[in-house]
Amino acid sequence: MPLAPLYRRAPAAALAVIALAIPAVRPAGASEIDTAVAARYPGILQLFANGEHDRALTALSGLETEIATGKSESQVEKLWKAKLHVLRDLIDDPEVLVPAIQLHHDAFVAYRGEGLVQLARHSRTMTAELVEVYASRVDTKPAKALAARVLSSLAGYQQEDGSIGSAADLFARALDLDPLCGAALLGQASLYEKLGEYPKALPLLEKLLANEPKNLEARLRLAKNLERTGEPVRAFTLLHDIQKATPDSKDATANAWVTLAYEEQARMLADEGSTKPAIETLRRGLERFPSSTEMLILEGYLMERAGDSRGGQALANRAAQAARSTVEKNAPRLLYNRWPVDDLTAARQQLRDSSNTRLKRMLAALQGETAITTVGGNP
Amino acid sequence: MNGTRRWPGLLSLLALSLWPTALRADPVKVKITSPTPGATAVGKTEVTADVAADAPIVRVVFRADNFPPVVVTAPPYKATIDVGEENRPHRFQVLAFTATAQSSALVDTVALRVDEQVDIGLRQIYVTVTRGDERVTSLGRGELQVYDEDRQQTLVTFEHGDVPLTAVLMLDASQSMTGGRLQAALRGAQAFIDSMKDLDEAMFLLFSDRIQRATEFTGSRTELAAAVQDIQAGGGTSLNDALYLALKLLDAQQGRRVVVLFSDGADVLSQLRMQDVVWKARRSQAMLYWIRLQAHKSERTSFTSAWRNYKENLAEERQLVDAVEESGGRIVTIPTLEDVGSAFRGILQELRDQYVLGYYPSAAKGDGRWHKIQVKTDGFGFKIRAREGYVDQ
Repeated sequence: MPLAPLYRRAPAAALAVIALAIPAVRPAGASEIDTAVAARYPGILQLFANGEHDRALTALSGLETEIATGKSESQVEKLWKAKLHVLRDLIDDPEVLVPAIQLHHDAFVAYRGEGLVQLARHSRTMTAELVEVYASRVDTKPAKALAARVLSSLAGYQQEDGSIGSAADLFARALDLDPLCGAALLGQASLYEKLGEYPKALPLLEKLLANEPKNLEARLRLAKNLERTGEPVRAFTLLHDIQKATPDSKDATANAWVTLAYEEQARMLADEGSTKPAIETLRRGLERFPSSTEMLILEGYLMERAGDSRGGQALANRAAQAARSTVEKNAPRLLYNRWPVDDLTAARQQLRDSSNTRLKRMLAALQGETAITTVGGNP
Repeated sequence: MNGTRRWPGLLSLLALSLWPTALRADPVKVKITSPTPGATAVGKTEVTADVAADAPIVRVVFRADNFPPVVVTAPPYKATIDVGEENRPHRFQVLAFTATAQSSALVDTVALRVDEQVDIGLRQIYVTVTRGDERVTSLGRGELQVYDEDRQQTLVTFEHGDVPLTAVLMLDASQSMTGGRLQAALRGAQAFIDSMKDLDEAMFLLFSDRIQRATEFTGSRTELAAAVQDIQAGGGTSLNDALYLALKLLDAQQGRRVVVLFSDGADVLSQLRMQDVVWKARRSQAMLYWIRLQAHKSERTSFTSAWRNYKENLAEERQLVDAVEESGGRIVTIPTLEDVGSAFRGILQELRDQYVLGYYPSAAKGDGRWHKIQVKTDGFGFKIRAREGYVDQ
């Protein structure tokens, strides 16, 4: 699948920017949805602005489920238009959009977790639209950085769900807003990997590494893609560098990248026929990560291929034994293949922090008070 | 055939204890050099003896059980006796005569037990014969012929499927197995275990993106059931790594070996490539069965991963299909979870209905080359499924 056509902005997001830019005029002959939303949505936002996050989320879920469940897409479209009408009245101070973004982002995560596909899609679209409006109205570097972070988070979820096209759109848009957004650079690069377009991943990873030289994941992905594109020497050096890292033992993700550096270097050596150095690399890795079943299996296989069937057998037994006592949930190779949960958590935390500093402004806007002119907190 | 083979442990000790029979300090000395004690003798067996005496040897008589004796009057002292194709013990006797004295030596050979660890040179193949939709279980020894590199082989063993088996029950416990699928797979595997016989053994190997659980090999149904009670589905699929491990663990087991894999997806994560697993499978005596839960269109597992692209992952799956077929096993595609139990039971019944044939490849050189195997029968309308070959090592 070529990636180029995936670089496009979601038309709905563009429409939202336009919709919110137009003066607030309610449509003639308001529908039942307009009425329901106009009656209940401001109250939900008020709950949220008062810090009652869970109650607000429950109320929003109640409203949206009532209106959208089992209904046609046109009904769902009416729902977001009705919500935009409410929000349009508030955004003289566009910073109030940040709590609204958090509310809809959290609703998306909740719907997704419950497998409510239609509502999850609605919330994701709504979040992305509000992010666009926020970035265009505030138009500062920090605002764009926050917007890019939220879009990258949505893209991460999309990637997890196998919606690669949608994820690519969101990552691309995030990079438009903030060309140095680490999550988007990494995400876009990993999408190229999944599409087998390895050369296109390289500049993204080089850019990220230049900005974050200690980023182990970027280093590992760069090494892997350099190997794939015919630069094994530099790939080998990068893998060697990763092996020198000594992350905190509790940092499972960072340790996964180090484990993979041993595995991948060993595989490179084995593929070029250097079986003995490959085995030695794995032994060094196993000294640090003795319960890595993947390294035990690979070393056993390489030993068997080298003619030492008995040695291979001993390692297979060790791998089976290790499997009986291992507590880690995810293999390093799975972490490499999926969007890191840590990143999603971090993105939500950043959004939460940014939102908290703006709740009073939202409350003021809801109560029709004069917009506060000083901007509180950094996104 | 030459019935002399090496035997492990206890049988070697037995052989040593028999040696003195032929070494008495008689005027005539006789020692049977082939077959050796404890070896297996089937079909035309060459018997050789060292004979020495102070006086001229008049004749040497070669006997095997109650078969007609063969008399040799001049060196070399050897004779070929057809002891029949039945896998059973035999007693060989050589009597040497001078004009005034005589002496004799005895050697006992044994029947080959297919559930016992034997010389690695013995090839065992498991043969399923069907006619129409039914399995044929009544063929006799002479009705199946094995060809190794197009040369017909002498069967050393011929058994029906009640030969004990050792199985690895490999269950996919990845994310796609949530929603009751894993539990259904475990119930199916339990049906397999419940039908095992006393000498059968099995182990569970549950895998996702890593080996989630690997039990010991055991014949205890309760131990096996208890070992997987708390398992939960989740994560990705690293099938190749797990399959290689299963085959390697089976190397250390004895007798008939089989891997029964239950999975609804394909590997997109493993460190090992399927070609690595194929390398191993061709050197293993294990058969592979794959119970494949048919995925609905909406549930098709993505073949895209950051490790291998779509084409590569698709090729991995095709190679797995080839490996299963090459091993003499088969893919059992089931449309719904309700069919899991019958799929497992069906495989076990198929194993029971198989013929287990053993032979020493006449062209064995240990040169690492692929040897093509064909099993044939003269009967009309029979369809035969067996391992397609092996690597001679």
